[in-house]
Order: sequence, then structure tokens, then C-alpha cells
Amino acid sequence: MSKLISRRKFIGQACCSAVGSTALFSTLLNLRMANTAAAQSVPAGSDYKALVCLFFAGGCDSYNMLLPYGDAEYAEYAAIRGDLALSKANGEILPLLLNQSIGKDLGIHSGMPEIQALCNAGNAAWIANVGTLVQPTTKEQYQAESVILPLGLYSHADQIRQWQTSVPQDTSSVGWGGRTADLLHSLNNNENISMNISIAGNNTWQSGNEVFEYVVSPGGSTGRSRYEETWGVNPAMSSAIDSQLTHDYQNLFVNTFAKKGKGAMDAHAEFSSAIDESATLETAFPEDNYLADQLRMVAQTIQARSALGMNRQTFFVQVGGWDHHDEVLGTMGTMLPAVSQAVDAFYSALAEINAQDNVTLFTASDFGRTLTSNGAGSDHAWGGNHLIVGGAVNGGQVYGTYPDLYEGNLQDTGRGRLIPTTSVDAYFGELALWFGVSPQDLPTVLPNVTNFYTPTAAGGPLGFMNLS
Amino acid sequence: MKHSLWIAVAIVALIAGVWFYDTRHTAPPAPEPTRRLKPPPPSFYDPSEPDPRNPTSPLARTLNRPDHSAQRDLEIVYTLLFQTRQFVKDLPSRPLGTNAEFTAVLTGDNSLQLAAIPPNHPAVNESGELTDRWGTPFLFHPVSSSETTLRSAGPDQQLFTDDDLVYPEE
Repeated sequence: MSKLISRRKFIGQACCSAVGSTALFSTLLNLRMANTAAAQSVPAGSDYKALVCLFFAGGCDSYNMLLPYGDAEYAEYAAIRGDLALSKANGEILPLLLNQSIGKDLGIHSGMPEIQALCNAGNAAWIANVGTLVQPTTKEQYQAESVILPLGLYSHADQIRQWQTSVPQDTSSVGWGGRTADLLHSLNNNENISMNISIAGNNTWQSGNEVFEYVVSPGGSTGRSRYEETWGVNPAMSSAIDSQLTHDYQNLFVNTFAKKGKGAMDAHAEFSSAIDESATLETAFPEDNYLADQLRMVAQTIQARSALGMNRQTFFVQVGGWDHHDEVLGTMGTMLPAVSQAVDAFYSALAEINAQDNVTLFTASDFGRTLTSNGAGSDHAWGGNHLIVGGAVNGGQVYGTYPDLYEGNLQDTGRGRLIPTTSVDAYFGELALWFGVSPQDLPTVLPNVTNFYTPTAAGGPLGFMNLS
Repeated sequence: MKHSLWIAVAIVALIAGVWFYDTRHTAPPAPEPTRRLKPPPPSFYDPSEPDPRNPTSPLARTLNRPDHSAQRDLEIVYTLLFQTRQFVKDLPSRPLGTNAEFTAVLTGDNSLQLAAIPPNHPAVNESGELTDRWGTPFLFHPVSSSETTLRSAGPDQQLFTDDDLVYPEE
């Protein structure tokens, strides 16, 4: 016997059915994610570790940051760089004292004496000619178009995203820091505040499938305007906001929005309280230095790690303005000293709170730049040189392969755009292993890593971190 | 009398010679020659001549034409690149950084062999680079795989000087 129902009732039941399906689907999804998470290996213990990504937005001309110093290699460098070359004779290059010879004498920009000292003391290292790769790539393969190349090679937005996702062959917006946090956030004892904290706004690197970045400013967490004021109508307004955000709404989206809003306000209160109650750092950070302001907040947050219940954290800081199609020498001459002084102060602050062995700072950028000049500056290229700083770094060394720099060399795709000799997967794989990602889980964090490294191999992909 | 006439003629000739010598050696020095710019190449199609080479892209014919602005040239190249991207969907997998690499794509070296600009366009130089109306290669600036900004060095033929033209305008 068929049962007829009214249109109004049909619509009502259909809606209930839809909500039920949504709930069921959501439950199944959560179960699947829980099973996935359970299958991952999470390290035991309560040791603290933090990764700090310092991003040079715009594409740093890093062959004027780490560059040849020996006579023969300097001549090669000077020939290809032309009007962009730093002058060795005028003292514009500081020599590096490497622990082991790499067959080339290298130096760094003279505006970075603090980094030179950190490197010579064994607390900083360099990665040479690193960049986005899907698989190992030769010049012949590049020219024959017989290899999968990163999408949007030489473009800002694509390369920024790929440096942060480490998946150059697609347009995913999930970062490897986010995927790392998806695996390891359960090591922390805080469900209100993300383990991924950005001092430089939203970014791809820290965006995971479950964990997202918590954004603060160099001055700390920013709360709702006038919410904490105790004069006039502000308390009544704050009560009204509380009432709205804690109400149980029938509409799923409204309810979720309210709960997220309340969670953000609670996180702000907790974060601010932890920062305010932690001792003020005595290390002097340079004034009028935006990177130093960001790194000071990172150090302050690390100092408050116990109050925040954190055992694993990532931080994202950024300095823009590196797209030097003109004025390379002049602008880098002012920007690199600011970086060097800020990073040095940060390391000193870590030493002050005895966390220098628990925190590793690494640099990243859109791409390296052309070795040849456009007449005024350098243009977009591919592989570049990067810096790692921390007490757990096997410092005083240059890792990877520092390439030949003559025009038309085996890595040169034209105009001194160098095919990376080390992939970002190897670079980040080393950092992820140190951070606590298990070798079995490394391909989850870095899907292309097995094209460059066997995760079960003894030692890290490059050897620049003390993994013991 | 005849003798006196010859003497007078000789005196006048002597005075004229002295005056001429003096004038030549006291004249102000010639001004320093200004830096010679390369003469503008014929980088546009002559509209008086029919052009059978590119019937599908009338916009390319107008590139570098003197009857519109140099800023319009940048807009034309930008538009042609945009249109190419609309059709050639696999361009993001193609490494594009230099002028020659972009020009190759614009002149038909792409998976559809779609030539927004004919390869023999007068604005394409011997190095396969697309040039502005003053003969200087445009600077292609890849912002993303779907967005490229353009710069012309302008009349002084030097990039990153005050007379540069940029599109989209900053």
C-alpha cells in the first residue's frame, strides 16, 4: 500500500535525510582519517622541537649570498655575473671555513658577518643549488622535454606554492609543514592552539588537511576589538558576543561558525596569557628590522612552550622584496645585513632560553635567479642556495653540490638558470626526519621523496642534521 | 698704376686669408655627440601592403604601429599571450622565463601550433625575441603560470629607467 505524503512533509523528510546523510558521511570520513592517523608512527617522549621557515619572497639572488671565493671559481663567477658580481678585491665577500673541503672555496656576502660567524662556529650550514624537482633531471632531459618538470617553472606564484608543498607536479595547496602537523600534532597537549604558528600571515606551507596555521603578528595575538575593555558599554557588548558564540544553533554552518569564532577567541586569550606570563627575553634584537620583530615573537612563543603545552611547533616568517630585476647589488647590500643581524639575534635568544638545539631555522625562496645580467639586475631562474641555522645542524659545511657557474654549463638551461642538483624533497626530508616524522611516514609528508632518497636508508638524505 | 692694382689685390687677399685662418681657429668646439641609439627597426607591418602571413591574428598586425601608443603595444602582447593561454591548456607544463621562450610559444611553438604572432613578424628579432618599437626585447615577467606582466625599455632602450612602460600598469 502506497503512502502519500504532503509536499511540505516530503520536503521536510528530504531535508532530514540530507542532514542524516551528511552526518553519516562525516562520521565515515572521520573514521577514515582516524584510522589513517592511527596507522602513522608518532614518536614517543616529550622533547621539544621547532622548525622555523624563513621565506625570502620574490626569489632571492642566492648566488650573491653563497658564492665562489677561490681564485679560479671566482673568475668563473665574475665572468658570468658581469655587472652583478661582488668584488672580491674590494672585500665584498667573506670567506667560509668549511669543515671538509668540497673542492671549491666559497664565501658569503660581506653583509652577513654574523652568519659567517655562526657557520664557522658550526651552528649554520648551507645547501647548494636546491630547488623544485619532480624527479632527478638532466639538461639533456630538460631540452628533450623527456622529463616531468615543475608546473609554472620560473613563475613566482607557482614556485612559491611548490617550495611550500614540495609537490611541483600539481596545484595542491596543502603544505608539507601542514602534512607534518597532521601527523604529529597529537604530541602536543593543547587542542585550542595550532602547532603551526605564522607571524607572516596565511601561507601554504603550514596548511594541512586537519591542521592549519594560527596567525599572530610580530606584536602577538590579535583579539576582537574592544572585547577586553571594561569601560562603558564594552562589557555588555562582550557579553552579547559570548552569548552569540556559545549558543547552540540548529543550522550546522551557523553553529560551526560560532564554535570556530569562540575557539579563536579562546585561543587568543590563552596564547596572549602564555606570552605575557613568560619572562621577557634579554637578548637585544635589532631595531627597525621587520624580520627581527617576527623572530622575536617566535623566540617568545618558544619560551612559552611549556605554558602552551607544545612539544612540536612550526613557525613561518617572511621577508619580501627579493625580486631584483634591477638594483641587485644595492638592495641586497641593505637586505642581507638585516637578515644576518635578525637571525643572529634569534640564535642568541634561543641560546638564552637554552633551546638552540631544539630549534632549526631554514630558508626558502621562490627560486634562484639568472647568473647573467639583464643590464640592470637578474631574472627568474631555478636552483638556489639556502641556509640552515641551529644547534642540531651539522654546521660549517656546504651540502649538496655547488655547481660550476660558467655559461652553458651542464646545469644551465640558458642565461645561467641552473637545474637544481638537490631537490627540495631531500632538503625538507632531512628536516622532517629530525622533527620526528618516521622514515615510513616520510612519503606521506613528501610524496616525491622516494625519487631522491630511500627513506629506510641509514642517515638523512643530505646529512646536515644531527638525527641521533 | 697697373703695379699699384696688383699690390692692392695682394693686400686684400692677405687680409682675407688672415681673417679666414683666424675664424677657423677661434670657432667654438663642436658639441659632444650624444649617445647614438640604435635606429628603430621596421618592427610593424606596413598597413598599405596586404599581409597574407597571418590572417588569423589581426591584432598582431597592429603591434608597434606608429598610429597608436607604445603602451598599447604592451596591451596587445599581453592580450595575445592571454588568448594563447585560453587555448593552449598545457602551457603551465612548459618552462617559460625568457623573452625567447615566450616568443616561441606566441609564434606557434606550442601543442596546438597556434601562432598568435607570425614567426616572421618584423618585431621578432634574429634571436627570436619579441621587440618593442625601439627594437629592445620586451621583458616578460612570469607572475604565475597564468599571469605574465610586461615591460618595455622605452625610447632610451634601457630597462628599469624612468621612461619604461609596464603592463598591466603598476
